Amino acid sequence: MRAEIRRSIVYRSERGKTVRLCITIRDDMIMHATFTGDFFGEPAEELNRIGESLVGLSIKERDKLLNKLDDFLRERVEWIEGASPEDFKQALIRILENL
Amino acid sequence: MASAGGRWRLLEAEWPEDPYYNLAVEEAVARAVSEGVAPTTLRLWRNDNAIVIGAFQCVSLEIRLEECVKYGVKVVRRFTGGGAVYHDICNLNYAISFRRPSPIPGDNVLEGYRMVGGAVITGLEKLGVKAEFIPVNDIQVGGRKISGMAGTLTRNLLFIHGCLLVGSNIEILSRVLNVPREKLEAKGVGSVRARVTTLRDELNREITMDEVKTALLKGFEEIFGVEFMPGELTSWEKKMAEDLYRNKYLTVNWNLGPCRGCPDRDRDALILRRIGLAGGD
Repeated sequence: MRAEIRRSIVYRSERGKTVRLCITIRDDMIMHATFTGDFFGEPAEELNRIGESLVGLSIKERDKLLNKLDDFLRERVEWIEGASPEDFKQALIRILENL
Repeated sequence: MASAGGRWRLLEAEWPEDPYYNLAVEEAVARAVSEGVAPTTLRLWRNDNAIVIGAFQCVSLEIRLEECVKYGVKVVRRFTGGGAVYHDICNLNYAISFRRPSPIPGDNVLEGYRMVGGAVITGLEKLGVKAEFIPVNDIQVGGRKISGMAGTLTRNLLFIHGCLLVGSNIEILSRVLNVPREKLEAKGVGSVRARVTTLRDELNREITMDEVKTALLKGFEEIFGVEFMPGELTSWEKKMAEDLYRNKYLTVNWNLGPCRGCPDRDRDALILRRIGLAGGD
């Protein structure tokens, strides 16, 4: 079994806030992902679970990952300020590009 | 004289040595206004030597926990987003809970920062300090941050709170907060110390908390056209605060927040307990 890969990134949103992504990958599969940052929004419990939408998915399927993220933000998050859905996607894209 | 915006409750309830209870009261008051069992309320209060972290932030990334141990700085998570702030007894926190529809145009959080920020800026003018609102949620003097705000919007509530640096210990602030290099670079500064200022530094004199409170109240009265009536926590709010204190703000899970899969979580939990967290998981 290959070792786990842990990566984190700080992404500066266009609106001036910070989106951080911490991710753990094993055998190309996302085991754990958490988005944190100084953005605002509701409902808080859903914003704290954005990363869970990526768990169990392969890092090889980039479009599927981005779509999952989009779906979660659209369906579960009522409002968000300081960062946009695109900022979350950019954080993910950058971490995948630097694995 | 009756004012156009009516009368709002003024609360000066504070527990500076217990930031967990202070935050429980903050949420209890907001919930009371949201439920319609309390009027629009401005609360002025202080913590002593604590970091208040945003609802969506990671403790171990945003805070230098070992420095918190060294300086006895407690860490508590608030129920609104935004960034981590350092509170000491020389800061003044303001929190305003509006039941919707609020006097903020569109019941919008960003407009809330602008208008509540306008009230704070008007108050600072009374003290002779020229400040400006910098979107998204900052108040600055000469390019340096003197106050930051956070807030939330739910079905019945628009809530905005902020921290005004009156005479804060910038040395400790800059040691315990781990501000990302990317954020400092975006602000054009190399350190936290260069990014913030205090009211005392801007006035170049000592200033009492009563002077600051009086000026802020005038600012709120002018901007919102209201009068303030001193009030106290209701029994509803006290009961809610006690419940939130025991079951939320004293718990490890709440204070460590969203990073449930983080391999450092157990280590961080131990540190939080060392610096004052007394509740269960």
